[in-house]
Amino acid sequence: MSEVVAEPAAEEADWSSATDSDLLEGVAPEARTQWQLFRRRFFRHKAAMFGLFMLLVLVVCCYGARWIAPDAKNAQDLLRTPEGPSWSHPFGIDQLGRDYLTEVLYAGQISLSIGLGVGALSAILGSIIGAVAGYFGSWRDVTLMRVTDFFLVVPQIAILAVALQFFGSSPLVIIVVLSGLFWMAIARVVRGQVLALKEKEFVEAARASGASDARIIIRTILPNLVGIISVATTIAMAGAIIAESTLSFLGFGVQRPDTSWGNMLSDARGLVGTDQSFLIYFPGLMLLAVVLSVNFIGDGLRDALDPQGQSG
Amino acid sequence: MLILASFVAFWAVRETFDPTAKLRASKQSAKAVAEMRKKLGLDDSIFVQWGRWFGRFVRGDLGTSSRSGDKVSTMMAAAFPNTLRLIVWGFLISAVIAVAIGVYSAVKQYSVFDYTFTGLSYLGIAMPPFWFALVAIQVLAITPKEIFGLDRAPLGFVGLGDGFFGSPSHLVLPVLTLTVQIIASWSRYQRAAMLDVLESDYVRTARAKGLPQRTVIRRHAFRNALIPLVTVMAIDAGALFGGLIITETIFSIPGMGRLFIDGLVAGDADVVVGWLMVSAVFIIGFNLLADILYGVLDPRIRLS
Repeated sequence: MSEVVAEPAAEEADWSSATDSDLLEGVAPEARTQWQLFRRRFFRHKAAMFGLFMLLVLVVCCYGARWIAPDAKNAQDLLRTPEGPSWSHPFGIDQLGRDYLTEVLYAGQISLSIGLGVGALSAILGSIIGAVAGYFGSWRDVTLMRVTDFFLVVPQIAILAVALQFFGSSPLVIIVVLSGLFWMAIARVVRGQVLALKEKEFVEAARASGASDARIIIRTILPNLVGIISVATTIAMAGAIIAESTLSFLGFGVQRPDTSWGNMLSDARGLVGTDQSFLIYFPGLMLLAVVLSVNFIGDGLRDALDPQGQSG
Repeated sequence: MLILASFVAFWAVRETFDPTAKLRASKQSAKAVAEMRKKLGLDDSIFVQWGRWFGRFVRGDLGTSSRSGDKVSTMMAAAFPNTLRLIVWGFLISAVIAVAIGVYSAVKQYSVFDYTFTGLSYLGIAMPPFWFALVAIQVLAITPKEIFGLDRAPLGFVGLGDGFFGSPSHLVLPVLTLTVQIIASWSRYQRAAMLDVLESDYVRTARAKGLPQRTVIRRHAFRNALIPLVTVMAIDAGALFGGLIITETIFSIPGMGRLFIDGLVAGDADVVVGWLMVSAVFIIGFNLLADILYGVLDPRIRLS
């Protein structure tokens, strides 16, 4: 604190960044109104609302499969022959005589759980690690940047396949392994923002009034990053859902008897070009719908966060 | 399991020391050295193991496949041409298409064209490529064959066909699978970059001095709008490599991606480790290339 007084140059630098921040965000003094503005912009974003609605419907249908699905889980009826979509079986009937809609809904429970789980876990990990690295700097920062660089030079799918082969592949393990990769992007975003924010006056003020480092990070800096973290989280979530389905498709992800949209597609792969090729469409369409709505929500959050940079 | 456990650590250790680290050291030597020191404290036996492996790696010997007893380098040499065809075509096609779509959508912002491709790019980004491949095989290859009663599908979906560049009809679907996500995201970047440039002062100046729209776009805006995309391309090189795994599996192409998956399933350590190394070298190569291109496109960077 006394340093600032002793070094007029540093004070000057602080002033210039202060005007900058006023122009760009004007966040700090009235966090509450800012939050209300943000919420209003978000709820007026049509694509985001559409995405939110679609995602909610899918989540409710999949987790409520017990009440909604036409059949019991895994109910086979070998007397039924595979048939295309009809009114009584909207998604058709598969080779084992199961109602495909039921199968798709139950598989969605696992696919969605993995997506949401990875989103939550990597948001927590990424925020903590990114904030610590950005705030304390030095070796923590260097380590974070080196580790994340290192994972950029090898294809993600390859790392994940190796890791799942190594750790096994129950849904819980998949969540942990995928989070082990997806936290990095969030951490880098958080780190960058913390680097910028920790020089600001309001952080200086908190420090001057005797707040501990932990309190400054949690109470002073992180609340300003909620928006940016949630945008990064939607990106991680979309990536995780696609990665899970791809790995399951290749045989490294969710294993039978658990089903996910990915390994349903893996089973349906042999049906391309046969009478039952209709089975390849639905799990994929569900994946598409989920990822699309997550992306829409992410776009809505980003636009609400930065009303100037409307980028379609 | 033991083999896998050793090589995960093994590979992490090696990453610090392989030729790629030297490439990186040229740009960021301090960081590379810090990493080296950190990793040096690791288990000695792994270090010794790595030393032996690395000695061979430098001489181009990637070890021997535990499945077939063939040399890994021989297997890769056999697989590589297929992969190269996919990558070269995939890269060229996605770059050309993405730039064309991006630039045109930006110039005709809010036109029907722009909206159509914005919508398509959202779908492309959200779509799992392997599912796209399944649907494409069904819809573009098999359904037309059935409808028109052809002897064979108009687009091939097994292998790449003959000749170095493959036969066009066999290339369409694999290349499309490899690039669908990449085209979608690159075209978005290109559009954003172009919009940015079109609003810049020097474009306004060019317009103000009366240059025709075509000249403004070609000579002033286009070149500058390419710069950000080059960075994105380098970052996505990893995704392109990952995409190979999926594409080659679905289309039964005996290339590098298949080599990796087959090696991983069989627990063939040398193949997997070798593959990871080779792909790392390639991705870093892509990044270097991007840095060089960056200099070509933007002289300011070369000077500094």
